[in-house]
Amino acid sequence: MDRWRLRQFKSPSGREVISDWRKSLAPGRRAVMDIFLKRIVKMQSWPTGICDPIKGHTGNWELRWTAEKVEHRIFGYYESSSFVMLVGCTHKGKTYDPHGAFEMLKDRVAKLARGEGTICDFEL
Amino acid sequence: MKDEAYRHGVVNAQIEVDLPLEIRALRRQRGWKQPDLAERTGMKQPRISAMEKPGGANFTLETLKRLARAFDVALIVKFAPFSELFDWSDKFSPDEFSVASFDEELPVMERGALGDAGLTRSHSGHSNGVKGPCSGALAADYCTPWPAFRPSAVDQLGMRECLSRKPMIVERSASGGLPVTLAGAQQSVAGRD
Repeated sequence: MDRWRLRQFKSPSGREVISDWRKSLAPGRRAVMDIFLKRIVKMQSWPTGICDPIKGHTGNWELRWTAEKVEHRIFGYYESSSFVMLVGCTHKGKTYDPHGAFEMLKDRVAKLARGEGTICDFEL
Repeated sequence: MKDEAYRHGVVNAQIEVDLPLEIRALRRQRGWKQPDLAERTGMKQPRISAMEKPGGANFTLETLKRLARAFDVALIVKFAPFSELFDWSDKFSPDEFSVASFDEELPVMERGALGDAGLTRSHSGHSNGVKGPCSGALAADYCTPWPAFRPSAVDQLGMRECLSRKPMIVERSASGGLPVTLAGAQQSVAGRD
C-alpha cells in the first residue's frame, strides 16, 4: 500500500517536468529511479540520506539516491501526504546538471505561487 | 522490461536501493542504533550510515557476509530468472521487511525436523482458516503439520516429546521474506497412537 502520493510541477505549456527528466535518463538509471520511488512511497517516513532539507531553501527538500555512481536528486516540498517534485537533477561535487537546478527550483516555486503552472500526479 | 539496459538496471536497483533499505529495516527490527551494528560488524558508524543510503556504498560479498553474521540471518546469493526478481520486487516493502534471526526461527526449524522425519505436510487447519494441504499462498516450506505419526518420527523424537508438540503454522510475510507470523493450531491427538 502506498503511503505517499508523488506529484510534479506541470509548466503552463503542459510539460510534466519530472516525467520529462526521467525520460532523459539512461535506461539503467531510469530503472533505479523507478525502484527508488516505488520503495519510498511505501515508507511511513523518509530518513536522513533519503530525503533531506535543502540548505538555503527553507521548506524545500531533496530526495537523494545514487545510481551508477552518479548522485541523483529531486527537489520539492511536502504537502500533506504528498511530495511535490519540482526539479530533477544529477550532480558531482558542486556541479549540477542541469546547471541552474537551484534557480529552477526557486523559479518553479514562484510560478506556482503566481498560479503559473500547476501540479499533477507522477505515475509510478 | 524488453529494454536490456532497463531490466539490468532493475538488478542494479536491487543492490543499490533495496539492500540499503533491508539493512536499515533489519537494524531497526532489532532495536539497534547504527553504532551497535557498526560494533557487531567491526565497521565504522559512518560506513553503516553510507550503506543504509541508496547507492551510498559498494557492497562486496565479504561485507554482506559480515552483515548476515551480525544479524544472524542467512544470505542467499544466486542467479535467477527476471520473473523471480520482478515478483519479489513487486512485493518488497521497506517498512515490512523482516527476517527472523536464527534464535527466533529455531523453534520453527525444530518443528520442521518433525516434517523431515517423514511426517505428512497435509493438515486440516491453517492459521487463516484455510483447510487442507499447504499450498498456494501458504508456503509449504514453512508450514509444518501436526504429524500423522510414523514409527521413524516417534523413534527419533520420543513419544512424549512428540505428543507435547503443538502444530506450528507459519505464513510468509507479505514482503516475501522469511516467516514473521507464527500461529499455533491446537488439534486433538486422541486415538492417533
